[in-house]
Amino acid sequence: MVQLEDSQIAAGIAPHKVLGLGTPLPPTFNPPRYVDSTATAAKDAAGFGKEISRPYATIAFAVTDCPADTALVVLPGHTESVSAADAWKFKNSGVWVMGLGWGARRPTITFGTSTAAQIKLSKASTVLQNLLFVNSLDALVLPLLIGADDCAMLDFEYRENLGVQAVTTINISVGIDRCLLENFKILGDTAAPATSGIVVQQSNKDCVIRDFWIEGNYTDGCIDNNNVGVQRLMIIGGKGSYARNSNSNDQIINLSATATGFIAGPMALRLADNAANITESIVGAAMQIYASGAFEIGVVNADGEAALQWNGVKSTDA
Amino acid sequence: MFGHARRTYHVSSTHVAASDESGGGRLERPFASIRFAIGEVDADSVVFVHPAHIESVGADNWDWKNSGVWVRGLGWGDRRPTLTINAAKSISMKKTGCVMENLLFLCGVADQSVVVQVGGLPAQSDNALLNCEFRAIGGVRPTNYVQSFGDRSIVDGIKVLSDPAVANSAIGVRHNIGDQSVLRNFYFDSCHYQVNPGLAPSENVLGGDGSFIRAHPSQNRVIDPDSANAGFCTGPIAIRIDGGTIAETIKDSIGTGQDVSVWQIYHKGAQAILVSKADGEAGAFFNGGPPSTDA
Repeated sequence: MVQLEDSQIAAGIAPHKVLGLGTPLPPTFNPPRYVDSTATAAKDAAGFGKEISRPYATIAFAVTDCPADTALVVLPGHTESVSAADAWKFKNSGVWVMGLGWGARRPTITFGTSTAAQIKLSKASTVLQNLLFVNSLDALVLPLLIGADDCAMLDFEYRENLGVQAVTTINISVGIDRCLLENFKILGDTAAPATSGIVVQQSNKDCVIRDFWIEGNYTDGCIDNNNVGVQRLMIIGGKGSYARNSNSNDQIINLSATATGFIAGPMALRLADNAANITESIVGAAMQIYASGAFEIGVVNADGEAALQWNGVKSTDA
Repeated sequence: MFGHARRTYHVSSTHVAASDESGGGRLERPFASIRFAIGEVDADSVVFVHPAHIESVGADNWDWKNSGVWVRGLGWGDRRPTLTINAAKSISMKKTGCVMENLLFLCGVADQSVVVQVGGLPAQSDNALLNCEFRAIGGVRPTNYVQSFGDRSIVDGIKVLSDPAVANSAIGVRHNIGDQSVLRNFYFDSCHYQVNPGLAPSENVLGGDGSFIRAHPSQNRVIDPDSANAGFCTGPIAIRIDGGTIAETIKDSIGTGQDVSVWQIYHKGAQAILVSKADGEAGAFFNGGPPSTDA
């Protein structure tokens, strides 16, 4: 039976990003389970998944069979389709779906067939890491739904085939606390309008979004919250974040007047229209916003221009 | 590097064979509590605390038997090992070179003096608290969440969510006796940093990869050193206060003037310290402390 060794932990099989906000560490002493659609012996059946030579064939089955607090290692080259709502029915909490590989060799999850196709993180402390999500269907309603506390999505990429656009890419559901989206890329189609890249629903607490690159055509902003009750939301540039909204609403971060928390750079923002829209690119009447120095938030609204520092009203020493 | 530890032990309250008995701590028969484990294991060992481990802290103080013990929690979110503080007993790392990592502390004792003490006397040095989270529960909060004590203590990656509804600010991290200590990568909500007044340790408060303080409504002085402190205070740190002046967010609370005269403060550029005073406002640069001159 293969087991992750201390040396693998020390080598950093999980990101160790220390920002005072918690550090994901994988569960390491439960024997890992394996998923590999390319293995000839792969099968979705009880008794499989425990050895790398006899893996599960799909993540969808694996998460129904995987014990709590277990790393579910997904091998390079794995491919899988998602064609129905709530396609991955997690049985237990604390499952860490850990993709291996780089670039096109990352495990690749393709949404299609139905506009209701969706992965829902429905158990607490579920982690998805290093997966590539591809959308092949226009008007896909909501491919990624976070529906339990303490879930994390790390080091992932979401991209869309030419001419298709999900309505909303990620939704952190109502009342879900302490979710983390970190080091990710959402590349939506820039022509077809969608609603939002990320929606933070009402009554969430302590969710963190950091180290991101989001592009698309979003009528409600790249990161959106139109509902009340969000507390201590943190939208943080981290090591450097980037967002471009190709929609004429020119909003990158669009939060309700009651959402509280931090917005801090470093961020590079690009707006669609060459207009008086720099201040309005970030809306958050009850947030505190840090846009200078190490937390610089620069905004560009026309090709070839250098960034202007985000220019909301600064606190004064009086 | 813990990968080269002398021995490896395991703790898991959820394991069917878990037992606090001498000679235990194996993967197939783990200890049932961290408290017992740290009084049992050899020096320079790693104690892996498994996901979903839960433990109450209340009946006894925690006494480390040996130096160099690394207590390492596994798991993410609510699957992290969780310690619920039920009585005013402290977890004091009174040895040398010990580490606690990736643990969740639920603090339910009103005005508890100290929840975790990193180090002891100056000779009990080189201890560290890494990537731990503290939450106030039950409408109460301790007086000090963490006390750093002894030389070269490190508190790195700490998150403290105190209770803004309880009167007066708690102290997230307090530096006591000891030199060359470091607080880095921190997120304080409704609490602040303080050096024990009247003492003169040399300590460093470093934003690291980015640190954040949301002040308690009653406490605008969120970094409160002693006027005799030596060391560095650098950003990037983002601070939110509800009143007062930006210049006094970092200041000795019992002295006069700027009272950070021995500290050096770096608050521009990559080391920015920004302070926001109201909803929707952008942070302005900290403006206390006279800038150095080329003369």
